[in-house]
Amino acid sequence: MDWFERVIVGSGPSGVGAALRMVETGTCIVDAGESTDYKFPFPTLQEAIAEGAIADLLGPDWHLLSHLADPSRAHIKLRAAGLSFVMGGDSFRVEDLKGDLLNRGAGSLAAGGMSNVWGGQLLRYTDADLGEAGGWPFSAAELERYYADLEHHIGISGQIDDMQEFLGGGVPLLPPPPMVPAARHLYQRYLLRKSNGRSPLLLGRPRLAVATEPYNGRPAYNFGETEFFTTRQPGFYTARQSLDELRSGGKIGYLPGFRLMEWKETPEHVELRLRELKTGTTRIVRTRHLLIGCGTTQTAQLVLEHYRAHNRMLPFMDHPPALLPLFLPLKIGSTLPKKSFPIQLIGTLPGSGRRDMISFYYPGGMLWSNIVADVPLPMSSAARIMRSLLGGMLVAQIWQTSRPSPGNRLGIRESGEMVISYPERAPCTVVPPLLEAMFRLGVFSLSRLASHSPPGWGFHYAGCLPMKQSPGEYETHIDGRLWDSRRVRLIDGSVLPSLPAKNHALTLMANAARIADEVKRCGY
Amino acid sequence: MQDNDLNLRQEAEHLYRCLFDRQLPETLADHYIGVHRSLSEQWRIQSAEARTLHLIVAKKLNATAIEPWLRRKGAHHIVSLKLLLLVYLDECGSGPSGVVRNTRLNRVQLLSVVIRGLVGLLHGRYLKARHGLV
Repeated sequence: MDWFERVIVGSGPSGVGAALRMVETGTCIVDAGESTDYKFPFPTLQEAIAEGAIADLLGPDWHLLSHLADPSRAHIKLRAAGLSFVMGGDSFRVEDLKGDLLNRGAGSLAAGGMSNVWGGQLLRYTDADLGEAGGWPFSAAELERYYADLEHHIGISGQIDDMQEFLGGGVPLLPPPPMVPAARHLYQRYLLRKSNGRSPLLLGRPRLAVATEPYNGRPAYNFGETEFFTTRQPGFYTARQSLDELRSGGKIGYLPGFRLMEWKETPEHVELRLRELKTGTTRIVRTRHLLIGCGTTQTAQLVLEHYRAHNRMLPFMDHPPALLPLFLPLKIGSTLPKKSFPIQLIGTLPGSGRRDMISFYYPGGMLWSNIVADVPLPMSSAARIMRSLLGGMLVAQIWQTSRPSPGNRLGIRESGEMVISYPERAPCTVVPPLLEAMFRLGVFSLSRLASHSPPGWGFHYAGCLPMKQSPGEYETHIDGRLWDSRRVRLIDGSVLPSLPAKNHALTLMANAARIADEVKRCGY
Repeated sequence: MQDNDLNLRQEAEHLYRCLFDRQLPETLADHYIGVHRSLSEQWRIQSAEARTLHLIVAKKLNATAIEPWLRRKGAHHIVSLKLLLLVYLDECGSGPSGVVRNTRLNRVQLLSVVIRGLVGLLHGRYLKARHGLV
């Protein structure tokens, strides 16, 4: 039987965030640790296209086309052969009030978790964010130093600009990536309009986990537009990178290929029953402290199974974004860059009184076929105009604050099937004021072109076992402990009480780090 | 299998010509058949859609003009699926001779393509109604 002082389950952002605080003897990460040997063999997408490398682009057995019949079945980021392994975890159904299927989703068993396909934005929450979202039992100040430590560890690119307050005041360590012509034009129009005191929008450069220069022994990113084909690109940080560094430095133990099936807590320790994925054999591990960071849905499922709470429904939140194509007529026909990064700008509408977030994406750095059917023209025309259109096009990805709603719930049936009941969808109210703000900057679109992601597509899952000052059943203490536990803590999105509009990746890591420090301080 | 491959080849030739107004390259035709061998069993094609596709190919109707009127959110109509397949194959498999990645238009040409597209939409609406396509 193995013994570890502390066991962390999961190697996604939360697991790694905690592990970085526990780099001492006796801490072990237990991880399903799925990976892929598949490598995208070109340094840039454009080189692959120029070569006509169809097998590499569309994958073995035409993998990328396997969702052609119904693209809504798989997020665009998960279609390539090199990335579909990321969401190979426990699946769930998303149902409406009548029990009809709306969508399917899954957790991740990947080494590095969902960070393998994240967009790279790492943003701090502020007290204004937490106040608007509501329900947080502590202030943003509790996370400040963890944010700073993580930003220093990762290396964040960006700049200090009008979004500084919104983004929580951190200072980027690396310069921002270059902008595509459409984004540069929009930003320049914004600066001009702002100087005349007439902008309802705040706009700036995003904060990215992307090295624009060599940093901390890591190379600069090559901006080869391969984000939709592969992960583990040098210079683009994911949790996997820290996991590999911790392992190779001998700073942490690592038990790959295992899943946590059950635990038993005694006054002195926690006994874990692990299952080896390849062989199905059982391994028993004991630890003084267990930290579970398997991702919101899988952690919630583990807890419900542990308490045999079938048909108990837990709160569930996600962040399904709205997408709005934006057209800049003066830049249509611009020469497209050979290299780029998807996220170009980030903005908010301060006059709305809310802290919604808008990420502005350049859609040219992926297969253009992905969006041909979204152009309201015959495909013969759409295919021909793509190169010209993309020069003057951005896509606004709109994020709104998500709070617990009475109807949206996660549970497991007697059969073990995980189900999310999702009767309530918050309307996206940002589109009209955004259209007006864009119009004033010479950018055009129509509200009917907006598309709304289906429930469960947001990836930003949270809230099933929320932190409280005085937790009740199926809630957690501020130090991550389950309501009735001394030694078992949850460290991932399942404990976040609400979701501000910003993506929660950096906060997952920072909160997990904070909870890890609580473990070190607890004295037992 | 051979008859099916021949039908698929004829289908691909017609749809590709509707898309790009040129001959389908042999390699892309092979890829089109290859995709069908690997994936078509997963496609749930309703008989009405199959009939529509058959009519479009048999009567050499303008598939790209008709398709926007068949387009829907979620699961693609079979005509949309097959046209989109050819767009992917052109983008990924044609190298420097592909249309999707290599078409450069000045503003006048761009406007012309858009206007022709809009006119095509009207024509497609007529064809859909005229032939009872669903």
